[in-house]
Amino acid sequence: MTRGARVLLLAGGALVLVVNAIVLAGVAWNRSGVPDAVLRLSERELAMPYYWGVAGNSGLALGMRWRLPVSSLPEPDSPAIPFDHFGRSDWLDAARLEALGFELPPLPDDPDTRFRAPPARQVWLALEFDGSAYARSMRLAEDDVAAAERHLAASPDDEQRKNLLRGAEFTLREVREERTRLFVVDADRDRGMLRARHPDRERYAMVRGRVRPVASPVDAGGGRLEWRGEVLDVEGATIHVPLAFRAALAPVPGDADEAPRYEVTLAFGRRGEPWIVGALSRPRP
Amino acid sequence: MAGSNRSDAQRRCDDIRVFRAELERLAAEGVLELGEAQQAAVKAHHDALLAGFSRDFDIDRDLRAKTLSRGMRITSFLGALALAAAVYLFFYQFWGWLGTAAQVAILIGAPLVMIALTARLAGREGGAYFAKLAALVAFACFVLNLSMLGQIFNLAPTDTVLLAWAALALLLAYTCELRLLLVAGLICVAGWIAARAGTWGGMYWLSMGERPENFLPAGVLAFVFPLLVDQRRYAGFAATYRVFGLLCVLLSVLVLSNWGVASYLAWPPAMIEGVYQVLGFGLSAGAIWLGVRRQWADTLNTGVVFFVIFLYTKFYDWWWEIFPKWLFFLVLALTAVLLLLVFQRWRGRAAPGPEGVA
Repeated sequence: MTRGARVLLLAGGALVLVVNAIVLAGVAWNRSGVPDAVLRLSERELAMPYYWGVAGNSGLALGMRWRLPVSSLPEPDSPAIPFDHFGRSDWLDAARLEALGFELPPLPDDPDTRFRAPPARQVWLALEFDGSAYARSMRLAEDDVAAAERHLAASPDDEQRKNLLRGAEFTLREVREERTRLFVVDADRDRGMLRARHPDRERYAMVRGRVRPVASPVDAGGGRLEWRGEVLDVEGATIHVPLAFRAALAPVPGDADEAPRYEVTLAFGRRGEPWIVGALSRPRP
Repeated sequence: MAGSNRSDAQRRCDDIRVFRAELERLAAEGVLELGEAQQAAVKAHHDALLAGFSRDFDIDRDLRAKTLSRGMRITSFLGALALAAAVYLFFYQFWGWLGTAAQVAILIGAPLVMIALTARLAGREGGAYFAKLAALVAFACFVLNLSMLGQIFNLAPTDTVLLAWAALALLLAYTCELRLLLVAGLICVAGWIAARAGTWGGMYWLSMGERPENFLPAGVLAFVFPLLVDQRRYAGFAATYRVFGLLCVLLSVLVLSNWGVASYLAWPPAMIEGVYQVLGFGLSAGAIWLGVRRQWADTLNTGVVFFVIFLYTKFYDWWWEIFPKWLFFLVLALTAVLLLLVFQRWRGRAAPGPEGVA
């Protein structure tokens, strides 16, 4: 063996082993001790991938679904929005963005003028499960149904008002039974501060995510602009399912058309990286 | 003396081939005829040199071997691509049915096995092409290793992984003289430097592309690296560094010359675009000048391509809307003719006249 080949063998082998050792030590450290948070989620929050069982991939990963609380329907909490984890929220305003470290330039009066939006930053986000944000979302959907009913009562034969009511009832059923109850409710540069504001470890998990300022119209007219924050993504939102938990998530035999129902217990470690610690199959009601 | 490494040996071999052909021509034209003893001595010396080069460096001794070598390079590249895809798809097909410990063991074991195979093949006579194939697969296995560990343990993405990939890619590239892996290593290093620059600028590392200036330091570093560290032992490596560096710098400048809001500079976007347009013309003209002066064909060609792109971009801005389309393309064609005339003039000046030869 030549000298170059010997160097390759030793240095290359050492590199692979050392890098893997560092990665695995990081995993062990993240999972050591008491988890930072433990959430019991369902198929509403951890969805099966569309590609499972096809494209030659035998692995299984669940996709975390999350939303941002909104103050009014229908946008973006409308059934017309198929993916409800993108969006802007009222709490992520200019003051909060500046607290997250963004330097927001003044916005032009003319919306057609080019301006420079600051790039995305990574911050800590608080994920709330089945808490006040979800309750508010339910209340909004119920209010919408009540408003549609009142509207129809004034003119019972109006087909358009009937359709509006049907749409509002559909949304309410979706929010109650199918949509995720996981909401991004807060953000901070410091994870400890965020945890101090949301101490319940069975309801709030702290995860890293990307936030980007976006110039949004203040009103529907679209004239004046203001800075709002947009949550681009949540880190670790694709959760690998180890072999030991695969059986609990498998589709029920003879029920191939129906999506499986399950409860997955997700732990979040020292670095905010999640992993599955339990999975149960749930019976269909 | 020539022959200390493969590229020198190949160059000497090519010189010997050209010398022999020219000597035959001179003899046929009656200009020069070596005596039999001289001919025998030169032939014996050259044959001994060629035999040594073939034994030590696996060089191409004639044009046929050179043509076949090119075919072998393409075949080993395609074979490596196919083998890497096979490894990737094989793992994907079965990994779901393995426990975590088995998955991790396979992921760590695969690059180790391929590195050992590469080292074994690299040390064997005539094994260079197989070693290159194994090196590409070893790198693919290491990329799969770390990216799949990230998936299995839901790890947060980090730019440090780029350094690990770069280290192995460069190690394999220098051991096997493989430019493709040199490029892979340079991409990883440039990505890491750009990510660090972006992080210092306050952005998330994966958003590094939102500020093209993040790629400028990596480009400059890649361009000057072969000036600081001698690359003559490795055929084509210096040119690869230079072209990669120029691409990093000139592509970033090209983007900024059309998209000023992406700059770090706190000036009005139109002013930023204007500054970068001037810089783009200046840098590509500088690359042409440097390429001519140092006889770096790679630098000259890259400079010409970008000079033309910058020029055509400006023409588009100025005239696309106001000119009839035929006139616009006619102007482009006339510009190309003008550039050809300029280059022809330069070539005429650069070419040595009869007195230069003497």
